[in-house]
Amino acid sequence: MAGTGTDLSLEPTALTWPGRVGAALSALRRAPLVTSTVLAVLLCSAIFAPIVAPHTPTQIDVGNSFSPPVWHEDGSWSNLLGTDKLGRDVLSRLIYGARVSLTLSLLIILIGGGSGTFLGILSGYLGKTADAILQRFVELILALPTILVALVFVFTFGTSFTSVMFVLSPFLAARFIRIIRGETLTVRERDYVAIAQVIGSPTHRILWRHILPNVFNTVIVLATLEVGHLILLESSLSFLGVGVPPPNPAWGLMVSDGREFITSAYWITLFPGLAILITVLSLNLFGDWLRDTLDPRRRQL
Amino acid sequence: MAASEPILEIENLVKHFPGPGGFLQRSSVLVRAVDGVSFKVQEGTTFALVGESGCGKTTVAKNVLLLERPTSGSIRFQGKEVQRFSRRELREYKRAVQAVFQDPYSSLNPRMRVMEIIGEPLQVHEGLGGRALRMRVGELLENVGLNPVTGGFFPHQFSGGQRQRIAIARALALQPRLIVLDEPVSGLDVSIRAQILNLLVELQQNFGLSYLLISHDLAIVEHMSHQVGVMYVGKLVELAQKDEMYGNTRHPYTQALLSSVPQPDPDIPMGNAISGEVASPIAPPPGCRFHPRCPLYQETAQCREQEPEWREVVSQHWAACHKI
Ligand SMILES: Nc1ncnc2c1ncn2[C@@H]1O[C@H](COP(=O)(O)OP(=O)(O)O)[C@@H](O)[C@H]1O
Ligand SMILES: [Mg+2]
Repeated sequence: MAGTGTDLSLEPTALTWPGRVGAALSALRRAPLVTSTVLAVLLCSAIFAPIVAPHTPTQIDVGNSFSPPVWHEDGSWSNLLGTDKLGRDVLSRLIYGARVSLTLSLLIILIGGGSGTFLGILSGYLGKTADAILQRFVELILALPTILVALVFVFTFGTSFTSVMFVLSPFLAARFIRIIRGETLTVRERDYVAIAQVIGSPTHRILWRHILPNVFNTVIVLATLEVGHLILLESSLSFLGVGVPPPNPAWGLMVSDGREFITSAYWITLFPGLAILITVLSLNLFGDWLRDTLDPRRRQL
Repeated sequence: MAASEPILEIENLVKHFPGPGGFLQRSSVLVRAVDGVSFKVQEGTTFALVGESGCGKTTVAKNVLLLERPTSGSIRFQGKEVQRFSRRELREYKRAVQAVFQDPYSSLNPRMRVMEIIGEPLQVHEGLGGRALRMRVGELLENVGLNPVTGGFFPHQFSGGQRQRIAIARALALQPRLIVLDEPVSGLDVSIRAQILNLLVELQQNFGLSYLLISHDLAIVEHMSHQVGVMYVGKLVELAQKDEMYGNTRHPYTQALLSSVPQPDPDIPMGNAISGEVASPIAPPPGCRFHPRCPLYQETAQCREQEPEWREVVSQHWAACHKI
């Protein structure tokens, strides 16, 4: 069928390989260096905690309690950030604490965010009864005070890693459902979805191949922002004594442990507090950057 | 051409939407998007449906494509009522009837490669995969004048015209009988419109396709249609064979549309040539819907109060106007 097509060659608008590498590089350059570094350090210490940490986080050494950080006169190099009232190394507990916080948050993201994404897509695409029921569920959950519900739940079922996971997952799912449903409502109106319906693609295929990939950027951004939120929640629960049970080294638990001694041994509370602050701030900044980067309208600029 | 069988027959198609509602309340008004439209698409020919934006053309297309359910009326494909299809017939219909839409940026999934986009109908209906699928997609790309190696690319790597070619290739994949073309070149640069129209004509001849071509532009339609129907606010006002329609235009609305065609500047909307605003499908004017804008209208009660009858003014040439 020669003669119809004159545009066999791609126009200059097409991205060539060098062009793509260049685009990737410039995106990296615009990436927030500080927040990515903080997150990388955090991730590495969580993964390699046994190698990086100078001490076992739960090892008690009562003779060495309240040892101050190294820059104090009576500080020692063996406990860089000092020890707590049981003589446990604060730095090692911080490093293992990153592991606890991140594992817990990621698990909740996987369970709550995963199911929230799935239900949000169903709700937005199918509409009607399924949508109405799910929206009532979301409104109910979002109207509940998270901390209070968690307190009641954990008092009933006992403090454990799993309790925290179970009680926080529905809250996260509700937030995902609300946002992903809205996103699905826009994607559903695209012509490629109508064409897939004209072709007769089954619904599961439309959801999997057309809707999910086009809401996925939002899922990633939301997950990043929610990890920060979850770390904060988990810390609050641990601080209140209904989060991760002792002697696990959770940041919120450490802050809570040290609060009696805040005037005499500030380092027991200050460092885990700073860890929470810096991590949550970095995750939020990184999430914002990610959202701007993945937004195709901004990417065109 | 007139001797061929109709592949698609639309009879008295009506589609009303609930109108824009107020705050916290269901609206009581109706949008009469399509209000009794009948026409036939003959096998192997192009039926052009023309009218200003908002007159209900896309709604007709969506009903044919089963994306909307008619309020009333009948759509028959190869003699069978679409609403009463069995599961198997429905599946066959979805193979036989395909579509190309106006906006080539919205009609290709940005997250899929061209191979997957064009291959989707083949995977869904024929379970094709691997080498067989790649071969078939390569052929289809060649059919629309694209290089088969572009199968590995993503839509954003193509220009608007090339994207529309990809959309056409996808519509061809299942060797359909009828393709609904809803403003297939309106979203494209003026310089490449002719290329795409020529491609469509060539594909029609090679594969014996029937087209339902929708456009707001009578000039584009003249090039490739066999029969033309002109719509105004949900109703057909004139219908004839192409040559008859352009050579012996009867309805004042069609005449007004035609006189606005040779605009050298494509940015001047057609509506400018006809005085007044397009009537609203929520509250269409009583009597003849076109009378407030009609150049022939002279305070006659007939035009204002009585709906003009749809009648055959010349053999095979229908129109609805009191003044003809
Ligand atoms: N889903 C809908 N709900 C309400 N009104 C609609 C809907 N779809 C189309 N309409 C209205 O129906 C009329 C005809 O629309 P459409 O068929 O898209 O016109 P065209 O394709 O000729 O420009 C317009 O007034 C439009 O606003
Ligand atoms: Mg339209």
